[in-house]
Amino acid sequence: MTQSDLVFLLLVLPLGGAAFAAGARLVHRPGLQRLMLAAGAVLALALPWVPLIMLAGTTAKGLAISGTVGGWAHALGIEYRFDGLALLITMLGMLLTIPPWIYSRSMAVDHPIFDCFVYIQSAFLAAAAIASDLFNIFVCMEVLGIASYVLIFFARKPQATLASLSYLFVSAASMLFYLLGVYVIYLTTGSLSFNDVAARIQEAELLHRREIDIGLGLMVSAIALRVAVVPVYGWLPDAHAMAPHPVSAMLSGVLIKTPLFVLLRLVIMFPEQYQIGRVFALAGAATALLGVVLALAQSDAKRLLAYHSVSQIGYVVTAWGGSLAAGITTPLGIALAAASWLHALLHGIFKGTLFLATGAAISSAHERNVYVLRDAAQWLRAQGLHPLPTILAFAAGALSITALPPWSGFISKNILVSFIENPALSLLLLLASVGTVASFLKLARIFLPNPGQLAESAVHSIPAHPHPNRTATPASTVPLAPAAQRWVIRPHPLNLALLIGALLCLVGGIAGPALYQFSLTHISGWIQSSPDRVLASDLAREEIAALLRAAELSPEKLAQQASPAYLYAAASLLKTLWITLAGGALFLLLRLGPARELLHRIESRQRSFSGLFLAFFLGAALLALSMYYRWP
Amino acid sequence: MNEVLILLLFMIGLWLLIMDPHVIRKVIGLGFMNNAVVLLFVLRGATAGTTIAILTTGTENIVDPLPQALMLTAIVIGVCITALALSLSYNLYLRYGTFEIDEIRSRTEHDPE
Repeated sequence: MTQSDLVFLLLVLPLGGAAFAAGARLVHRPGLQRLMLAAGAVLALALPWVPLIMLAGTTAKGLAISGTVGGWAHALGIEYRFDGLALLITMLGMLLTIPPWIYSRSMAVDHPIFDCFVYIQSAFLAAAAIASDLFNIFVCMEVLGIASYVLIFFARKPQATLASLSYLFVSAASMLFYLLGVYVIYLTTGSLSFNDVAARIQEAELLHRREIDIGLGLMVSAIALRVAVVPVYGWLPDAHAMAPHPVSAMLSGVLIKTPLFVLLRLVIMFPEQYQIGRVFALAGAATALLGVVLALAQSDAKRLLAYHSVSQIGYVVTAWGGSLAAGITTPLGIALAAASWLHALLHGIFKGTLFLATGAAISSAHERNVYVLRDAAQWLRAQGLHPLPTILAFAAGALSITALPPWSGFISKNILVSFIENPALSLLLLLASVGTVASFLKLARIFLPNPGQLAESAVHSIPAHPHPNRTATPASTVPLAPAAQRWVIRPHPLNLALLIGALLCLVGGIAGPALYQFSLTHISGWIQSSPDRVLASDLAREEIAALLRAAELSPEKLAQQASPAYLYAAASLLKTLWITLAGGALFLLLRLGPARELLHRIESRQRSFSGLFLAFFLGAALLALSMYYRWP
Repeated sequence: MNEVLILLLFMIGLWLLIMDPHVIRKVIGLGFMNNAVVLLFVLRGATAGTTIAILTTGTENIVDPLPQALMLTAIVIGVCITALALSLSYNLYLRYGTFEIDEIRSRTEHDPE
């Protein structure tokens, strides 16, 4: 079996799994159906790891596997390219699909169709990672989009259907703008493949710079919409909050990260990459802070988590943009890109775990309001669930996202922040960290045993609330809920998924420096394997390698900055302590009357459908202008 | 002239999608936009030459076949999106008996979980 066959296995195996899952729908014997579903799961979720691990050896050496599908001539066929970046994207997607999938076994969804769409999504994640022309990226993004609209609909609630429909309108329209951008690039360079576009872009820039800037602005904004960066994040909270819990976990873990790293591959062809990087770094830091402020104002538990996804993706985008602004071929650029991927991965793990644990609590209690829901452990018991895995998973996720040592968020956030040199960006990220602590103190109260005065006073302070006197705490001795009211059909997969999530949060923290090293190896491998002309940069490949070896900021030195000795140094721990204390203080401050009034105003602000489009046009226009006038 | 008409079609679609309160007309608007983009690509391919690009000996002055090939895929994706959007809309209609987006939105907000 050749290496290119291994690459195609990454697509074919999940698609085969999808076929098995869909076939199980047609079978009526329960035993056979279970067998087919199991076969689909093995094909789609377990087996792709074999080619992935075999390919990791190649990409770590800085090699890439490329060619055209079906052996067509270079200009005619569909080109693909599997390199370090593709490996990182695929690995992130495949890993973060597994715990939500296990969790979904506990839920009464239409398993054959649900599984089918999950596997299609996995296959097209891999396809998006290896796509090597502009049009294929459009196709992969559309298929990923369709899979996620359907998966959100699986919640079978009208709110979810509406969220799915709004997301569909915005995202499908933005992809048409992407296609307009592709048209411009095709018009000016006469090609769509990355290799050819990169080879001709310098020449085309001389003649058509304005057109290319507009086209690129449209393409980049369309993909940025999928990543949910300020100002185009508006669709995310509804879609993520209303989806079924495992789907929320997958959406925030996988589906907002993949487009970002695919975009990296696209953007580095253009000389405008430095401008795009600067704009994204700024937008990312603003996203991190705005997401947290909006999260603090939420009363719906899952919407609060969804705004935290916006906020955390802000961290990822800041590092991503910073790496482009510093020049992706420089050691600092590579270090930032690697840190960005690490935070994307670890955020996927801890946010997924948080969605799963919080989802279990709110579904058991039939109550989503964090000011009302108390004593979640009792509610879980009423559903026949042991509360310990849920509480453990929630605690692990919350400790990770608030970046306390030794949990996973501590490692990735600190590595990421240590490479941000711009003081304004650092300040924005620091404020976001403080807000994150406060917000999770608020959410953690759903596990408090006593409703007491706290819940009562919080409820009374919100005049618009439909049932001011409702307190959703079960009696101290709850009988098991009748079968008709249970949302969990089997408790074991749910508990298993939660425990795996909690464990991964810890492993991510302990193995964080090693994971960073892994990411660094593959990002620099990707840079070295890219043909000179794909990187629209002044540095040729050998020069990059020499630079990496000789420069003061060598990869070894950068890795030192991510070593446990540096991360656990007194200064870093002290900073964490200050952030945590400030977060606690902010939490107490926000419980005062005027602050609460303000948060309530923020929560109930008008959000309109046309506003989403306005934000998109504004974003695209600003991006294009900033590229044209080389600003900031 | 052709480009202007295509732009007009695109803009009508965008207007319907953003401003029209009726969900089905929003879906139609999305379809208009999709078709406008398809026409744009096909127009570009068709005006690059005059003769057809099927295996013949003289392959000079041919139309550009690539945009047509791409647009086949784009049309298929557009159909999928339209079908999905219509079925989601119908699902909401079954629940609330209306296609007006604002009314659906306000009623979902008051719908119990």
